[in-house]
Amino acid sequence: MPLKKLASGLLFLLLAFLNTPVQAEPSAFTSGSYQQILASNANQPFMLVIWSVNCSSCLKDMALLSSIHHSRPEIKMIMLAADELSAADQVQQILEKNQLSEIESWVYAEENTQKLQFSIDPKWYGELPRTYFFDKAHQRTGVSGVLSKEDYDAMFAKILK
Amino acid sequence: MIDLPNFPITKSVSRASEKGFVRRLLGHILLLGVFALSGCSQLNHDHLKAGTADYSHYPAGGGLFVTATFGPDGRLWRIVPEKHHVYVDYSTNLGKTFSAPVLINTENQHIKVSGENRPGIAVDRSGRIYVTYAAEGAQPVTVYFSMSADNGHSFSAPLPLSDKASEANSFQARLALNPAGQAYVFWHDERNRTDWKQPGNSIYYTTISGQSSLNFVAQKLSDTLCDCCRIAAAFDNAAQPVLLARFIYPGGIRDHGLIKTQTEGKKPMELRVTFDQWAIEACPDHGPAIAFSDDKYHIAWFTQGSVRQGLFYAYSTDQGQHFSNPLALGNPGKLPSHPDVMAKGKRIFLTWTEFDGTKTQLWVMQSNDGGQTWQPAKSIAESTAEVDFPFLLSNNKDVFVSWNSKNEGYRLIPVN
Repeated sequence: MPLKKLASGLLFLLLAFLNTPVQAEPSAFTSGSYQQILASNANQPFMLVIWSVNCSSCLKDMALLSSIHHSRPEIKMIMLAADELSAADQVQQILEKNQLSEIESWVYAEENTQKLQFSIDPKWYGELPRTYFFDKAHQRTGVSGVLSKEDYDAMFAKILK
Repeated sequence: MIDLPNFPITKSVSRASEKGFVRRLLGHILLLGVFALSGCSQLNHDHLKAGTADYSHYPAGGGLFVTATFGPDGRLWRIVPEKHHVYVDYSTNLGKTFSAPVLINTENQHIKVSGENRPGIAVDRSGRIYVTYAAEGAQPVTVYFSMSADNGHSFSAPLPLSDKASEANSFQARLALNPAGQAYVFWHDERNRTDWKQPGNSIYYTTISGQSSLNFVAQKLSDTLCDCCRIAAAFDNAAQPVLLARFIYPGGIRDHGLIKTQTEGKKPMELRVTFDQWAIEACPDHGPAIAFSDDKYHIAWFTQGSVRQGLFYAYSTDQGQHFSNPLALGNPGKLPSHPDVMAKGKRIFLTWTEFDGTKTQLWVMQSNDGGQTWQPAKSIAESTAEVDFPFLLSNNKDVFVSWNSKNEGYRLIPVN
């Protein structure tokens, strides 16, 4: 390949890349991130939804999460994708499809995902989806699996008390 | 494949966003530039060297999800997937050093591999080597097959195993040889899913003749297979396959069932064998294990059911109609996970891993009376890095655990 042509091609693509509008992307979740999330939500109830682009059950849950997000804006929702950082585009795309892209979102960003998992909950085996409901004092309840609207309502009543 | 926009493994979702696409394209162009300038190329694969168990001799550093098996001549064979290529190598000194890797797919593929979606390797009595692995194909995930009839010097061009590979995903293949050396491959298949609300995948399988014609006939074994747990396989006295897998039972219960193929075209037999009552709509990503010897089935599995939680072992003396009381394995505070079981006559071996937040420990446990009583569990290795699942292997003399980890590389650890 002639170098000149290659260089101009690279330049063109570089410019195209720089001109692409920047989308909100998930933040990188590392070993201190869980504590960071707790600290930045001090004294307020919230829910943390852990999911994956490869988890079919999680994707069945997205429509309901989206409707809850829009019908119950008082419930702070944080999404954490248990995927590789390289899947961030795919994570973002799925959140966008479900009108969840504007909420706080994270993606696993360390190779040893078992350590990240343990930093969140030393009793959790990693099954997905996994949802944590935190009350104001950050007393939490962790639930595995897809939840119904009634399940969510019951948990919200508990954490908003 | 049904076009459901939100399902993760359909093309519509896996397609890159505009920004991602441009970034990737840029990456590719840069890479091309580097190749053009340095004279480096795919030909690198022709100059692969032999090496130790740490994968430093691999073009892209090897991979975590490695499968190994002993061949009839005592050589230890491995299949090692990287991001775009899959390799086979062997060791003649029980895993201390390995031969130069032989490339299976000459064309770049997006290899799809995980703890549950594992590559497979088997060597029959004549020395034919069979391999399976999953990669993106016409569908987002497809099981590919390749074989070597010249002792691993060369491999056939990889082909999709499923006759519907262009229409439906196939993944989590389990490759196994029956006692007569017949190769079977079982896999998760999405061809029968017409509605994503309907529970689970199907199990399809094919046998491989080992002849030159690679015309696979896929047969269906079962429906309602839990989407994200791999299938375990053993063979009974009649050399018929016996599978153990997590199924979705009425009420969304994710417990385990046995599936046995029958001779003379009879319908496969299905038996629910675990009753933990794990009612959940989730992906446990935690498949079971099965072994057969002396007319007994031995099984090990993970559950978080309402009846019991953790890792368990049980055996059956009546072809799976009844099982012994589940025996809990491991330290419940340390997430005991990913069991494997091996049966050598009355000697039964179990292995699993435990994690304490910093390190993963590899555990083994042995019974000398067909699983009725067990010696105390022993921890035989550990790792502070990312680890693969452990697997029991035997070269007909000794029993080993085959275990791969990010820092320590591949280890073949003797059990006794």
